Amino acid sequence: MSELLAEIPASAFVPEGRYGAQAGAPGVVASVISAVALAQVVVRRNGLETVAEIARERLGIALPSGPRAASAGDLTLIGTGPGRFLAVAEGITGDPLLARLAHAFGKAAALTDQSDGQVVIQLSGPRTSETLAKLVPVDLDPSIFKAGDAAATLVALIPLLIWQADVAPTYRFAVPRSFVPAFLRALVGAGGEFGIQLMGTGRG
Amino acid sequence: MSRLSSGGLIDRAKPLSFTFDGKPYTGLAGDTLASALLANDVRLVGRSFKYHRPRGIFSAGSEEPNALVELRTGARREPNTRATMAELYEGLEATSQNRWPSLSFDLLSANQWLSPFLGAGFYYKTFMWPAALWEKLYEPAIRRAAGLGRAAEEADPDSYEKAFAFCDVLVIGGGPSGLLAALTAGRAGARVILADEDVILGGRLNSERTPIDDAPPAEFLARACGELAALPNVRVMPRTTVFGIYDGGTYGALERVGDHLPVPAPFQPRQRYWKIIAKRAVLCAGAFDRPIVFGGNDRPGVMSAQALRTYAVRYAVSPGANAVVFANNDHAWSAAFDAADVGVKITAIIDVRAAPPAPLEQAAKTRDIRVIAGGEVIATSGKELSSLTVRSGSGTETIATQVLGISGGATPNLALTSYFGGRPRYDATLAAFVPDAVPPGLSVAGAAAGRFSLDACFATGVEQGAAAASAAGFTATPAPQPKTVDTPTSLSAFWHVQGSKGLAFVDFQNDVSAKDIAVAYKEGFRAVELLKRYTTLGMATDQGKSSNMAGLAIMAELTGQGIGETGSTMFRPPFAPVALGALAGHHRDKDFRPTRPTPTHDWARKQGAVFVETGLWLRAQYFPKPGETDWLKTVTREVKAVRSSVGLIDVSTFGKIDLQGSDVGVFLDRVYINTFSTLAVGKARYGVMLREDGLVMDDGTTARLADDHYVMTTTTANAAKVYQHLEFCLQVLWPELDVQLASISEQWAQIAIAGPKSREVLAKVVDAPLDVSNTGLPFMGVVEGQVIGGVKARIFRLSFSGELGYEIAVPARQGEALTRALMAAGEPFGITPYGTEALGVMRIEKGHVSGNELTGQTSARDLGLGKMASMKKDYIGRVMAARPAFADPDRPSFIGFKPVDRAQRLRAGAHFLLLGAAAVMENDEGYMSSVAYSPSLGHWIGLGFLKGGRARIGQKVRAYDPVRGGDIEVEVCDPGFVDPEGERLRV
Repeated sequence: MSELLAEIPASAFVPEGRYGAQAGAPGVVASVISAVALAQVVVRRNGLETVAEIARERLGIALPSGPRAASAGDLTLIGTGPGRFLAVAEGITGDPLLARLAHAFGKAAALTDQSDGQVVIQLSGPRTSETLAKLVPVDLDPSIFKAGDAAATLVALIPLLIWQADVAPTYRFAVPRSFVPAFLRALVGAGGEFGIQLMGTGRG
Repeated sequence: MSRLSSGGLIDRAKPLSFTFDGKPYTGLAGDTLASALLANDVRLVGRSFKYHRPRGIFSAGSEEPNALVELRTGARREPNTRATMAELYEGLEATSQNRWPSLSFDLLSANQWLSPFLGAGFYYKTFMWPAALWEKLYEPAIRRAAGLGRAAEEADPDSYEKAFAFCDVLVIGGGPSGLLAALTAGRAGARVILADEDVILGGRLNSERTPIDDAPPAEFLARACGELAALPNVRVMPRTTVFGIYDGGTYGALERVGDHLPVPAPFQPRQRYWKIIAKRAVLCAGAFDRPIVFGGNDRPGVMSAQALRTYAVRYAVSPGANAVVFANNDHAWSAAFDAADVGVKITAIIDVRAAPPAPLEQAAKTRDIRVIAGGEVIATSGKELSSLTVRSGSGTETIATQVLGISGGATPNLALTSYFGGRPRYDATLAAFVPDAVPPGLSVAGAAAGRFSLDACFATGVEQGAAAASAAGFTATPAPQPKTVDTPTSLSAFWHVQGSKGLAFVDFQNDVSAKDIAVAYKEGFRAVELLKRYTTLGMATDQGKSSNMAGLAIMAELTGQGIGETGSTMFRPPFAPVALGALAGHHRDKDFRPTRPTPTHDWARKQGAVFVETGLWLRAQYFPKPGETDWLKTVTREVKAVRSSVGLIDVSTFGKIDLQGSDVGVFLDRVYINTFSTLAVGKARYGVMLREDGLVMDDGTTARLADDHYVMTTTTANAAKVYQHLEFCLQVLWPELDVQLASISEQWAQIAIAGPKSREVLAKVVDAPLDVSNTGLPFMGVVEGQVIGGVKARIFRLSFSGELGYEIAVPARQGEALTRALMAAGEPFGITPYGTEALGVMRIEKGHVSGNELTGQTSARDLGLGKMASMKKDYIGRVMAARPAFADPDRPSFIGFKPVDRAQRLRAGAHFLLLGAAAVMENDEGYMSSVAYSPSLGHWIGLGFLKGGRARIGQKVRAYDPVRGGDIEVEVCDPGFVDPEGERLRV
């Protein structure tokens, strides 16, 4: 949607504000979640059962099998591949999350901080589904993709992770940091006809 | 005006003004441009492709071969728009195309008198001599004379987008079969998408008057549409053409979101390209009414019999004062009756059959329509049709008429069924090709399957809708079928009137006549695919939707083979033209592909950096200071600053891969040519990895942070490829290894500082107790700690520039803060930010290989890195790298060059020749891969590959660059131009 973005540098976050249709409440609200820590958890060879047991006992999480998210308290584990999970914790930073996971998993899993590597962007609003239909090549119909479901996919040539946070539905994306400008541009283009509100992307 | 006084699916309360060739007209909401033109008695609409013959409107749908116009003006000008598909809107501007000076008087129509010379394959045969004139004269002249509309010259101001949809059952076409298929599957609870290229659902039901459930079809249609709209699991997509079928049940479709508006609605796209993923699909695309081939069958006023019906019934337009129908089938009679019943004056029906069905003759009689049985039209006349000549048992006679509705029978619209290689099968009773093998998951119903009667359309729609729903896992109960009469469909195959007068067209769009088919036959181009290429039959925007059948039939007559044996050409997507803009969607201009800024992008921008695209990344190329107008001046300053004091560059774009596990050392030994298992904790090593074929894939440094923890860097260009390669090795080759990978490219910003003062700068930003002294952090060492007050960091003592250097990694969000801190700490030393240009110059001065050398065609030995390869272990690419050709001393290998005349400039891409050797391929000795002006040496230097390599140091060769006119002598030298012993690295 070139006229919406013509003046915004392709290398910058699209500044916060309302884009596209102006009448009424925005059809889509997109917010960058700032206080969130991320870590990649890769299960050591033959360690899936151990990790599942630890997750259940020490974190209170039933380790998801497949592309699903499972949460306990502020911590969510999302399956991103065989034996691979993205840990998401709100309200803390990367090092405490890493320490917490290291304390729990010990040598059973390889951990890497991804808090700076990926940006979590949340999408909600009455026209979210129609907006996402233009972006996500995954069937997000409520009968197919439910709260807790996740998918590692490609949106507007950007590799990312999407998961459904609640039944509203609210969706979350984990987007590699350097791809966020391109992601926001595609998002604003797709949501423009419904009116889209960007929050937490800075003032440009 | 030819608008009938009542009826039609048009809104008489909503007049719309439009212009055609600048002349104002008025149509009604619900009109297409074609129906509005006919309502205004405009029957001459275009000029044909080759002969510039006057042409009118042939069809009322997407198969239109003739009525192609330029729609809109300026940047939105759109050539070759089918007037039959363009919905009328207020202020529409259309222009006829391919004519000069005007539509009614086109000078190039003289081409038709040259038709004896412009027949099939004329451009292969004429203009052959002198050959030199082809490019300069013949081709441009032919291109000017032939052709269709003009594309807009400005960029398209509208936007386009892509979208995805998923369903259990996709129904393609919303006519009687499609409606029933969608209703049946929808009632069963399946998620259904019903796509139709028309504005409204109904297909033929909008044009026919056959009662359904004892009421006009509109009543049934309203009920069906109402029910579909009420089903939450059914999505109706009007104005949407399914144009292709792809793997995994993927269907390409184009939705014309804003084509019916003067400009698209705010923030809406002009068109939307859908990828529909369907478990099952039912093709209900109907059939095309095909023409009969006879002399003068292209005259404006001649149209398909079914189009005549559509204009009369749906648009309430009589396309002329009176009309005659010429056909070989019952369906055309129904068309004539419907048209007559809504007020079109049908004077006669000419049927090639000696004895058409008696009930039809009776029905004609009651409508006062004359029947000429066993008749054939042998000529037409008038610039626009004014009369025709018919030959029958009772002799020939001329009949005055403005419209001639012709029909050679129905051709199933089965293009989509052949996109997976399915070849249609000839059904002699229908005189038509019908679907045979279909793409997986697709079935066919109704007229597209050759089931032409309305009753059969309903029945097969229900049947295929139910079958598709159950195949998708739903229990479908066949719904009671609407009651209708079994519309008559009999026909007698008939293609071509023998002995008619004038050019008899098979393909209107490409001006292919019956004679051209005969020429193709005579010259041996008899196979259908050859026939198509030689004569252009069935090419261009309409892809022969109306014309193919008659062409094949005429060839079959000539060869004496049956039509089935002659076969049909294969259809390929797209079914109808798709704008490239729609395929691109969001990805145009700045959004052609993602732009990835580095963590210090904003900072660099504020420093006035000039940026360069490296892959998707945007990197600082150089940092001009006020007054520096020449990039070389800037780069020279940056290089000198690094070599004499200290400089800073963002190297975050390098790929960074985290490897953890007890077998990482073993793993790295297998992917690198050199050994990493012996690397001490706290040390880094340069490594080279090969592809399986023995050629170099990538290089970089890998550091060992702990016994079971390594960090690898890759080149910017190969970051994703190397990660994928490592994943492949672990998942497929050695799943038994305890190695866990994670990409940390985005997590860490990496800032390099280099130059004799870099340690002093670094020391100022590290937090205690981190020791970065020469003993605390020796060359090729790595330490972890904190910088700038509590920010975790990994500091690598590495150098690409050849100077004392460090790379400091911090979490990406801290990259800018670290940069600012380093700049502040380096201020007393005049710390200078530098970009990729200076980086490149310094690596060339050092003789390091980079992207220009890692071309995927060079081995480790070619690159002078052969000695790194371990002889004690196996690694990927080892066996293939040992092929004899790689060891051939004549194979060009890596070496340095400087111009003999130091004032000369070197050019990358120049090829090497022995002095005095002729500049021919046989004498080629290698090529220059990288060059730079060396500020340290004060002249140009180069790297490249030369036969014999190092053995030739001191020799002179010729660097020949015919592309840019370079031809100079260069001296072969060691590639280490600056500090070849590497003393500066260890200070």
